[in-house]
This record gives sequence, C-alpha cells and structure tokens, in this order.
Amino acid sequence: MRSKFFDFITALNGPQTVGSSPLYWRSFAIVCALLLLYPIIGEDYAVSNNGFLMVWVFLGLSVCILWGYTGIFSFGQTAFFGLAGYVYGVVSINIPPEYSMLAAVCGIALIMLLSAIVGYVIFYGGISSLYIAIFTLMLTLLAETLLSRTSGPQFRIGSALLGGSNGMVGIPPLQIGSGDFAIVFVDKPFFWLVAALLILVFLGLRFLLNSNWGYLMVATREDPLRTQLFGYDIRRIQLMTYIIAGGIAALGGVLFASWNNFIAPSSMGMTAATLPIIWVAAGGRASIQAVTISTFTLQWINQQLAYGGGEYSLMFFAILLLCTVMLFPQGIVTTIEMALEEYLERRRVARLEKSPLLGGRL
Amino acid sequence: MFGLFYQILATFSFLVLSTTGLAIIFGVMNIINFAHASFIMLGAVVTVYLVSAANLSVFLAIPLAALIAAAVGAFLEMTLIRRLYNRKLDCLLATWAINIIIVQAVFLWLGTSQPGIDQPFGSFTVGDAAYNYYELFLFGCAALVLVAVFLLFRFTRFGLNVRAAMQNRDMAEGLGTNTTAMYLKTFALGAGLAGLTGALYAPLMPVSPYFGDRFLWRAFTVLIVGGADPLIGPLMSSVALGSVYGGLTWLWDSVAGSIGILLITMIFIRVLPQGFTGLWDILRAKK
Repeated sequence: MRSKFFDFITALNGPQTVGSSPLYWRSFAIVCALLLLYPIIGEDYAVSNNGFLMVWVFLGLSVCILWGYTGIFSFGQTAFFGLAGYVYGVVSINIPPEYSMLAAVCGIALIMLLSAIVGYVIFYGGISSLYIAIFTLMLTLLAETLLSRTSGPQFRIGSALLGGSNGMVGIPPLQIGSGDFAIVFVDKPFFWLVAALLILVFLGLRFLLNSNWGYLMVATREDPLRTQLFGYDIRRIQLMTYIIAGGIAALGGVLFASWNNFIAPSSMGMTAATLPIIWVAAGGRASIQAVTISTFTLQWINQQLAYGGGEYSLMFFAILLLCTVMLFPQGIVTTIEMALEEYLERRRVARLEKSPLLGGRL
Repeated sequence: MFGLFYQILATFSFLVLSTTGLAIIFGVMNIINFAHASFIMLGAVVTVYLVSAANLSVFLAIPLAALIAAAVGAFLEMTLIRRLYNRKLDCLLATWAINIIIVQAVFLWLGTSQPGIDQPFGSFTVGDAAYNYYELFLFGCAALVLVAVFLLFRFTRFGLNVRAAMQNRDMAEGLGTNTTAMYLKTFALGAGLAGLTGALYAPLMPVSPYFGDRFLWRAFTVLIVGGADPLIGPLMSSVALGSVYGGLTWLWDSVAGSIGILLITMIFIRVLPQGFTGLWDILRAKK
C-alpha cells in the first residue's frame, strides 16, 4: 500500500515540474488541506470571490502548457474560454437545472472538438509560430465581433438569447441532484468544486508533463526538427496538446459562466486575450506552479485596481509585461523559485561542511 | 455595378495601407510588430490635434503625423526592440506591451472621444448612390505607397542592402552592411507608414485611443495570406481579400465579408502556408 502511494508520487515528479522533495510534498498537502478547510471559516462573499479568482488559473494553465511546455504561442485560449461559457449557457438554459453537469460536459466536449479543427488547420498546415500567434488572435477578435452582432430576438437558441454585446444573462449555476437533495454550486460549494478541480488538474498536468508525453512536448518546444528526425510526428504532439489545453480553458470558461450567471463577448476581446499571456509570462512560462501562483496573484491585483477605478489596471499589466520581457525573461515567480532553491542548496552544503563526518573537506 | 467596384476599391486601399508598414517590418526583420495598431492610432490622433487645435491644413497634418509616428518608432527601436532581435517571441510580447502602454497613455491623457475633422473633397453620385472623392484619393495614396516601396527596394542602395540582409543576414553583415542602422530605418519606415495610414483615415472614422484595433486583425489577415515579401504580399493578398470582402459585403453585409476572409485565411494556412509569397516563388521557380 505504502509503496503504491510512493509510486504514485514518483510518477508526479520529474524535471518538468518544480519541487520533488518530501518537504515540497508535505507543504503541498498542507496547502491543499488549507484550501479545502478555508470555506468552513471564511465569509461567504470572500470565499466566493476567491473561488472566482481561482477560475482564471485554468485559463493560465491552458496557455502555460501550450506556450511554456510545447512552444505554441496562442492568443486563442481566451476564445475557447469564452465560447465554452456560451455553450454552457445555451445548453443549461434549455435543460432542467438538475442536468446542468451535462451542459458543462457539452461545453468542454464541443470546445475540444473546435480546438481539434483549429489545431488541425494550424499544425498540419505547418505555419510558423509567429503566424500561429496572429492567427489565433484573429480568431479571438473575430469571435468577439460576430457575437457582438447577435443582439435581437432573432438570435436565440431554444430559449437562450445570445444578447449581442450585452451578453447572455440568466445562466444557471452548476448543480448535482434535484429537489431537496440538490447541491447547487454557489459560494462555498463552488469554492470546494473549483479547488478540487484545480488540484486534480494540477496533479494531472504534473503526471502528464513528467510522462513520456511530457518529454515529447518539451522536445517539440526545444527543437521541432530534431524531434521529427527522431521519428515523432510533432504535428500530432502539437495537436493533442492543443486539444488538452482547449479542454482546460473550456473547463475554466464553464466555471466562469456558472459563477457569473452571465457571459459577454468582451470575455473574448483584446484585453481578455492579453491577460492570460501576461499571467504566464510574468509567472514563468515553463512552470505550472509559477503560473498558478501568478495567475491568482495578478487577478487579485487586477480586482484591487478595478475597485480603485480601473483606468490604471491595464497600464500596470502592460508595464509588468514589458519589465518581465526585458528584465526577467524566465518569469518573476520562477526567478524567485530559483533563488530560493539556490539558497536551500547553499544551506545544505554549509550544513554538510560543518558535519564532523566530512570534517569540512567538501 | 459601380457600387461593387467602389466597395472593392475602398477595401483594397484600406488593406494595402493598413498592412504595408507591418509587412515591411515582418519581411525585413522577421518581427511581427504588435505595436502597429498604436502607431496607426498615433497618426490619427496627431492629425486630429494638428487640424483642430493648431488649425493646420489636413494635407500638411497628414505627413507631419506620419513623421511623428516614425520618430516614436525609431525611439522605441533604439531603446527596447533592438535588445530583443534574438528572441522573436519576446519581441512580439514587448511590442504588444508597448501597444497597450501607448493606447492607455493616450486614453488617460485625452479620454475616449476626439473631435471629428471634416472630410476633404466632396462627394459625387452615380445613379442614385453617393460616393466620396476622398475614397478615390485614398486609393491613389495606396497605389503611391506600393510604387514608392517598390522603387525604394528595387533602386536604392538601402533597398539593395535590405534585400541582401533578407536573404542572408550574416553574409550581408560580413560584407560590410550596417544591419543595425538598416533595422532602425526599417522599423521607423514601418512605423511611419502605420502613422500615415492612421492620418489618412482620421477624417473618415471616429478617432479614439482604440482607433488602431479595427485595422489590426485585417492587417494580420493580409500578412498571413500575403506572406513574407513586403511588396508581393500586401499587393496580391489585398487584391484577393479586397475582392472577397468587398464582394460579399456588397452582396450581403460585412459579417459575411468577415467570415469569407476567415475561410480564405484558413484555406491559405492549410494549403499555402507561405501565402502569396510562396505561390510567387513556386511560379518563378517553374519558369
């Protein structure tokens, strides 16, 4: 039993992710426990709000595994995030509330299908990475433009009104069971749901990234040509990663729409497409942990700036991006992590040097 | 029928003008300048300011605005972008950050709306519909820009150096071309053309800090469909996309036009990833 548990942990460790020591996993378990206990002591509003901030982490992770691990720079994850919200909205409005989980599955599945189509065009066409950036941005802006024009009663799917640039309102929250036995995921239950999903996705990604597949992703990023010459079909690797990333972004979008009860085309605008890139760049693109931390922190800062008027929020993020690119190309959180690691290593060596066994001969 | 012709002409000039600056920087330096939209917006805002506050004639304000945008571009190249030439994607991020900073600075400084300026020239009628002379003037400007770019690249020392560096940068440097100065000039030229575009369209559209956004994704489309050549690319893909967009807009509406452009782009990416530049190379190789 014990060894099986350690096998499981070993599969989660590897060079692709930060942290593998017992100390790391102990702190990880403590953080998870605190996350799951937090709603019991927290106030409804604060818990709900922090749950909402965690929703963005899915979008950040989606950009991170594409850009940081596979070398595909995509502005389009925001579009998948928003469109998933729309699909969830349309389906959940049209079916009874006890089936809203089905709507969520629908949203994620449809978006994964869409990312498969887009990914097929991009990767099997073999365009350069700079073109992928502008093509995905173009798709995002086009989705926003088209959905903004759907105002009026003729744009309805069943009983769901698309609502043009004002967006779609009255989206029901996620729910399990019906009648008296129903758990409706708002406030505290919502936090638990998001926290559980986030831990699952995070561990799942650690598993994926440290498996052979993860090595292939990193190989594709480092040298596509060499990977191809080793006999791997990099188009397939890129496409599969794109679909997985699309699914994660879609999960975030569904949670977003269910929390907000509302989704608008502005969730796919220029600003919305920029923010995930900034979270990932500022955090550290090649580390899912750095991206998780930076997404939550930066969205919290964004919210604080929005309370104070919001005019300076975008300016702050743009300057942050410029500083990151010029001064910390690896990302701010990753730079801190590396400094911390170096400090711990130096302390370990110092302790070894003092130990009587070595007699200071190290 | 004249309506269709006019629509295609207008779309063509719009696409050529909004793309050429972007395409030159991409073709020569292999950098996608995400600050393109903010240079366009700067051109427009400066034009409006010069006309409404300084009472300058529009035709004096337009070249002045283009020069100011070029100066801003040159300054940014010297301070920031120069350091990132070896990191293409970081270069994209930096220009994107610059774009947001310029747009937000203008927004904080001037607010969202700007006074409108009058459209020069009048209008004429064919059948029942009225058309602007100014659109025809814009078509003339687009043609002039293309010819000027052709002459610059084909017949000047600068153009020769640029084409050499496009083929093989290290070799050109080894033979004594100062690529640093060349890239500076290229970036300033691209920024200046963007500013010119904004200045030219300032009398036609409401000017705001987000003025450049409506140019941006169409310029990207033209760039993808056109490919890396800074002359062949914008020219051929503007003709193609202009006809598709203009035609569909004339038949139905601009939504149909946008979707048509998207489909064409997707087909191009899948079939001809090098765009019209690739097609041109294939045709030339066959000869």
